[in-house]
Amino acid sequence: MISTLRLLCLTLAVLLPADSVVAQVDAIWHIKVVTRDGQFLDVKALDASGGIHDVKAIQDATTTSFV
Amino acid sequence: MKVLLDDARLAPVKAIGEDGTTFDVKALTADETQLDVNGVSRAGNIVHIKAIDPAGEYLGVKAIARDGRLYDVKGVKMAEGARERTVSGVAIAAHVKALPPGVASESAIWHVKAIHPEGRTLDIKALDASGAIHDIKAIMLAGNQHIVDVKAFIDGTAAPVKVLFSGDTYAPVKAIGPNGTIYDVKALTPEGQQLDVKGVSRVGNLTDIKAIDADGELYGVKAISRTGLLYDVKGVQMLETTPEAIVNGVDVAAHIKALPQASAARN
Repeated sequence: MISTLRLLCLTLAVLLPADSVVAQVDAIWHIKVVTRDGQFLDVKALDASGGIHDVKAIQDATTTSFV
Repeated sequence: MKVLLDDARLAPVKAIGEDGTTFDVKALTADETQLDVNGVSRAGNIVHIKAIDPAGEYLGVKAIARDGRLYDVKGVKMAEGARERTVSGVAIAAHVKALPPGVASESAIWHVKAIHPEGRTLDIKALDASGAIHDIKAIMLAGNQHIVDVKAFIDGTAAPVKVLFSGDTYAPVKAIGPNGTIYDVKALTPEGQQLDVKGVSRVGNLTDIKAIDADGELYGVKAISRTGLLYDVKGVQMLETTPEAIVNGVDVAAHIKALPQASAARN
């Protein structure tokens, strides 16, 4: 079920063990929450079974103002 | 990832699978506490997204590049109403994007200008069929420093400015009146020339908008505040399908917005 997520069409995407994501985009940015004391917290997607999946921002090759 | 449409005060932020399955999005603390991530407020085109700690404090959500650049993660809306569209059968309130931090903070009207290569500015105006000239301005709204509406002020209404479809190399930029009337958008030179304003190339979600002189030279189009702040004017697409929207009966290829200038990757 989760493997059917369309990765490349989502600018902020849940990254799964897919093969072609990195090859087709220029950069993958981390998504973090910034706490009051300056710590970074991971942001993750959780499935119904408790599985944890990365959430990343995908930057197109030459787009810098809208990721 | 999207902000879902929800009646609750805090709108859920979820990932959506192709089959409509939704996945919770959480911030994880070192002690494995899961913090909710929600849309907490809206200002125009922007839904502010925050993680909420156990004390109820809102924490910012950021995208961080390997070179240290930091963008704000925001909900982005093109529709004026609460409902943006449906994705895999799930009603959403906003897309989720990472945007360069803006510099503006107050509600204000900004000028929209083309920048001549010699450093002069050219007014950008909407023209009706009788040749009458109407202002085009960017409307900065307090709380939304990221995606700023660009409107043509025609007969007391703020008409949307959009990229339309055509078979030409460059896509036309037009204002659309309430009854679907289409108004030319031109850059006006001091000599009385009217330069076309077009969408000249698209990369990802963005279309570059340029004024084009008689020699085919492309001039940047910018929104400029009274205090000298400057945003890029771009075409913005949210969808992979066309049309991007139908506005007053007119098929639209992209919305015209003013965006903070983004920095290139750093070493």
